[in-house]
Amino acid sequence: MNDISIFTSTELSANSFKELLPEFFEELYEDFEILELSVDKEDFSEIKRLAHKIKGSAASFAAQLISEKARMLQQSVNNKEIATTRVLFSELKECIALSYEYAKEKFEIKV
Amino acid sequence: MNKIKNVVLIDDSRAINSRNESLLKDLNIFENIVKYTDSAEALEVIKDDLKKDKTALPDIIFLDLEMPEMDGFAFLEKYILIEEIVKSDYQPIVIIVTDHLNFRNFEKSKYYKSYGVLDQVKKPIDKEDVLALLDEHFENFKALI
Repeated sequence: MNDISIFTSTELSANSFKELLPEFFEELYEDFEILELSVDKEDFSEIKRLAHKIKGSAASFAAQLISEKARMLQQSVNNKEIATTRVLFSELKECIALSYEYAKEKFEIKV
Repeated sequence: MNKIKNVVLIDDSRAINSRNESLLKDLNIFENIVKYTDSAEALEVIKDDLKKDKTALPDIIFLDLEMPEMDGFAFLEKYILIEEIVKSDYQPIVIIVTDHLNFRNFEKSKYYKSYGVLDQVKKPIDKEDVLALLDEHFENFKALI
């Protein structure tokens, strides 16, 4: 997968981006843990809130793959169809894992 | 070169706050940048600072709207009750930062215009947005750049 799909261009300088990425992923994993619990409990309000938060922080770090999937998850909550929400949650999990592996390799970050 | 003294960033994401702080530092226009992930805490610190020094108002506040517990509008409801905000001739410029630049938020924010809420900007903020906002709303901006 090419650069543009996972991380698009960012306003930050290359050094700043590399320095801040660990913090982005740390917070992302914290939020993701809570999101996972919320999906298990079928707490749609929390799922929506956390998907929104992840969408926003991912967009701020040009993590397009994560941001887009979080947006889809956030929208899925409106229909309150847990099956769809669970599928999108799994897809978000994959997107996060992929983005993290890519960031580790390309930007040599450690979380 | 003179700088804008105090900027406050309020967003429930610490990563977004750090990112925005880095962006603002790159502009080299701001002297102090303070970040809060908890809008209630931001409110208390602003109130405490004002008790010690009545002139200690931030110059600009970038305020996220969608936050848990106390969202941006809930923050503003309490913010406009701060005595120094009400009585001061000088007010911080408050910029609402939101995913949704929609009519509903725009209308709601108009209520707070007389308390300094002058504009909205879409997340994620970029340098161009910040420079445009400062150019429009900050009287002495051109002397800073």
